[in-house]
Amino acid sequence: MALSLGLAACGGGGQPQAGGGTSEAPGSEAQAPAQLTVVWGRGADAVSLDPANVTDGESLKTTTQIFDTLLKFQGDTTNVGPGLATGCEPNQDATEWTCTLRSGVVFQDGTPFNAQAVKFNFDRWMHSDDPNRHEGEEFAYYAYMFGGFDDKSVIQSVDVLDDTHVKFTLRQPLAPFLQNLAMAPFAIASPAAIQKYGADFGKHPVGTGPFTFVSWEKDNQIVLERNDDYWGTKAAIDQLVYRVIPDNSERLLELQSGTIQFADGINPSDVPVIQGDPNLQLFLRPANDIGYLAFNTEKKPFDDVRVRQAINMAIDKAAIVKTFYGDLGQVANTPLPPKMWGHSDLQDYPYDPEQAKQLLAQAGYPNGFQTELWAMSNPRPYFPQPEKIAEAIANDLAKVGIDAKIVTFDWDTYLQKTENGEHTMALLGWIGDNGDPDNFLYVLLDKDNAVKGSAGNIAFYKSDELHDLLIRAQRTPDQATRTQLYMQAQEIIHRDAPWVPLVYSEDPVGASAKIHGYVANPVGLEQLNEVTVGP
Amino acid sequence: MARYVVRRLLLLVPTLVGIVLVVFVALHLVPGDPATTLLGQHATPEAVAAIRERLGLDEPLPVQFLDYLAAVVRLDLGRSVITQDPITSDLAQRLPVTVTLTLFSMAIAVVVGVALGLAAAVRRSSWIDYLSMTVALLGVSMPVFWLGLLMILYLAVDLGWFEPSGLASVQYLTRVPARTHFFLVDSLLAGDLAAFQNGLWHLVMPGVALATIPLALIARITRSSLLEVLQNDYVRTAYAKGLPGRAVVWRHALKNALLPVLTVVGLQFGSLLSGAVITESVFALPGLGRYIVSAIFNRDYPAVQGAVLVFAGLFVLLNLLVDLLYSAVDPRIRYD
Repeated sequence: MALSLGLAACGGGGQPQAGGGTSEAPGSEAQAPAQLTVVWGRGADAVSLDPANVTDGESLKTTTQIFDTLLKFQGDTTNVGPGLATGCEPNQDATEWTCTLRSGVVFQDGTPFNAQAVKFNFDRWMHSDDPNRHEGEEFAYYAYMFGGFDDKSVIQSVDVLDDTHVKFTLRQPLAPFLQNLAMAPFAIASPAAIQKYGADFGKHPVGTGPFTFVSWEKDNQIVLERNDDYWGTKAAIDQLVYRVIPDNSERLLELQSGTIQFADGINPSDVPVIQGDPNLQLFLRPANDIGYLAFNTEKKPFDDVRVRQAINMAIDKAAIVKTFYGDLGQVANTPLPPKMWGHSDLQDYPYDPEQAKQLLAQAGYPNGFQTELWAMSNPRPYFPQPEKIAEAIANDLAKVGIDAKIVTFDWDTYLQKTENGEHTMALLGWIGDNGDPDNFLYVLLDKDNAVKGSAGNIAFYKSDELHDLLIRAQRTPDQATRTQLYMQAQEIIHRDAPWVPLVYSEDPVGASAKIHGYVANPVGLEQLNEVTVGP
Repeated sequence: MARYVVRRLLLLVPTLVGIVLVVFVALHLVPGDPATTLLGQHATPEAVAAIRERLGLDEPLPVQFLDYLAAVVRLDLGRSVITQDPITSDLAQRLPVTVTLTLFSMAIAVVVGVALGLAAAVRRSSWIDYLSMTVALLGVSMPVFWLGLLMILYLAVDLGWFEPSGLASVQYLTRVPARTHFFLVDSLLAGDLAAFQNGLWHLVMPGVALATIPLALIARITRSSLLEVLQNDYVRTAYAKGLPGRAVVWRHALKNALLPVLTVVGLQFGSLLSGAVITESVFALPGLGRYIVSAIFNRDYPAVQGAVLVFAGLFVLLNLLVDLLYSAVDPRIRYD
C-alpha cells in the first residue's frame, strides 16, 4: 500500500497511515479537512514544559515551539538576532541594557505581551521569595547563567520604562548577556497563565511561540498545534507531535516506514542507512561542543610546554575522528566550535611523531615516560566510545615512547576526581550553553576556574596573559571587538597547549525527504514554523 | 478457603516490605546522585544542597527508609524526583498499558500453546509433533527484543501490514480522550470503533513478541502432561468402553492434564511482566516497564521503588489467583 507521505490524514475517512489499518471501517466518522501533521520521534519524554525550570534537551526542544525568547539564535549559527525584542542597547559601561519590545504580540491565552510581562518573568526567576515561584521550581539554569538568585544575581533589577521598553540593570557587566537572553530557558511565559496554574504551569504552558500546547500523554506524546495568531512566520503545518520512541533502531524504522517525519538520537552506525535511503534525508547539527585531552599542567612532566606540544603532534587526530565519528565529527583546532562566532581558523599542530620525539628529547625525555591517561567509562555526546578513543591515543603515544596507562571511573566520580586535579592527562568535553565564546574559553581555560574541587579548567592552566584578554572581552559589549580578543586568546591557548583539542561532534537528525525548510541550530533547539512538507 | 486467602494476603505485607528494603538498599549502593542527575553539569553547590534537602536525601538512610514505608502504608508513593508528579497517579496511568499487553499476550500464549501441545501429544512422533516442538524451541530461544525488531523490520517497514510501534496511530491517540487509560476501553467509551480496531491492531506485534516464551513453555508442558495422562488406566477404560478418541481427550484427559499447565501460566505471568520491560521499550508503549527503565536511568529513587512495588504486588496477586484456580480445576484440592 502506498504511503501518503506518512502524514496523518486525520479523519480522512479512516485512511490508514502505514497500511496496517486495512481493518479500519471506512467512513466511520464524519469527513474533516485533512490535517498536516509532523511527528518528531525522540528517545525520551520532556520533564516539564516550563522552560525556566528544566535543564534537559527534550523538554526545551518542546518549549522552544511554544515560547519565544527576547532574542533568538539565527539559522545555523549562534549569532543572536531579534526575537520578542527587536534589539537591546547597552549604556556606556554595559551595566544597563534597554530592550525594545515588539508591539501587538499576544500570548496564546490572549494576555498581551509587554514590558510588564518581561519583568514578571525575570522577577520570578531571580527573587527566591517571589510569590509566583513554587515549591520544586529550582530555576537551575538562571542560577547558572546569571550567577545565582537575589543578591547573587547579576541582574539587579528589571524596570518597565513603557509598554515596549524594558531596562535591565546589572551588578557588573556580563559580556554574554545578549547570548543568555536567547537561551531557551529564558523564554517569556504568560504571567496570567503562571498565576492561574501555579506549580502546574509546566503542564499547561502558555507562551507566544508558533505552536500552542494541546495535550501531553506522559512517556508517549506531546501534541502541539499551529498558533494562528503568531507574530512571526506562521507555521505551515497544522500539528506538531513529539513522540517518545526509546529504542534508537526502532525510531529509525519508524522513520523509514513513514510514521514519523523526524528522528533524532540516530546511532552513528545507522547514518549510512539514512544516506542510502531515497525517502530520507540527513541533517547534521553544527557542533556546539568540544572533546579534548587536558594535561594537568601542575604535574610533571606536563608543566613543560614542550611535552604538551609534543603530544599535540603525536596524536593522529584525523585518524581518530574518522574511525570513531565517521561523518559526524570534525577535527578540532581550537576550543571553540566552528559555527560559533569568534572561532579561529588558526593552523593546527601537524601530526608529526618525529618532531614530537625531538621536542620530548629537548624537554629531557628522549626515551619518553610513563603516565596515566584518564577516560570516562560511559559514552558522552562528544566521546561516543571514550575508552576506545583513549586506547587509540595511548597507541599513538606509545609510538613516541610515552607509556600511558588507561584509567577509568564512572561519570560522577570521574568529574569529581578531575575537578580535584587527581589526574595527569584526562579526556573531557564541554557542550555549549549560550553560543558565546566566553562560555567555552573562560569556563574551561581561565585561571579563575582552576580552583581545585570545582575546576572547569582541569588543565589547571593559569595564564595571566589569557586572563587579561578574557576579562577584557567580558567587559566589552561590542561583538566585533570581542571577536578580535577571542582570536588572540585562541592563539595563546594554541601556543601554550594546555589541551589537545580533539573533536567537534555533529549530531545527526534524520528526516523524511519531503521535509523542507528545516535548519538545525548548533544549540540543539530550533523553532519549526518554517518547516514545510513537500510532495 | 477465606482463611487461606486472608493468610496469603497478610503474607503479602512482609514480602513487599522485604522488596522495598532490597530495592532501597540496591539503589543507594549504586553510584550517582539524583541531585546531580537532575541538575546535570550545571549544578551549583547551592542548588545541589537545596535539592538534596527537598528530597530528604540529607537524612540518614534508615530514616529515609522508615519515612518511605510510612508513606506507602497511606498509599502515597511520593513524588517523582524528576517531574514532581505524584508517583501513584503516574503508575495508575501506565499500569493499564502493561496489563493490557500482558493479558493479551497470555491469551495468545494459552490458546496457541495449548493447541500446539494438544496436537503434538495426540499425534505423537508425527510431523505435527516435530513442528510444534520446533516452534516451541524457537520461541524459548529467541530474545524478545530481537524478535520484536525483526517483526518491525519485515511486517511493518517492508510489508506495511502494521505500524512499527506505539499504542495506536497518532491521530487516534490525539482524538480519544483518556478516561481509564486503557486505550481500548477509552476508544469504546468514546464510541470510536476505528480507534479501537487501530489500537487492537497495534497490540498484535508486541503481543506476539511477548507471548513467544510462555507460549513455548505452555506447549511443552501441555504435551508432556497430556502424554502422561493419556497413559492412565481410566483413559484406557474410556477407550475400552467405546468413547470416540476426541471425547476421551477433551472430556477426560485434557482437564486432568491442565493442572501443571496452570502452574506454568501463573509463573509465566512473572516472566511476562519482566518481558514487558523490554517489549514496551522496543514497541514504544508507555507502560510500567518503560517507566521503570527511565526511572532507573534518572536515579529517580521513589519512582523506581513505587514501580517495583507495584510489579511485585501484581506478581504475588497473580500467583495467589492461580493457586485459587487450582481448586476450581481440580476439586480434590482444598485449602484450609
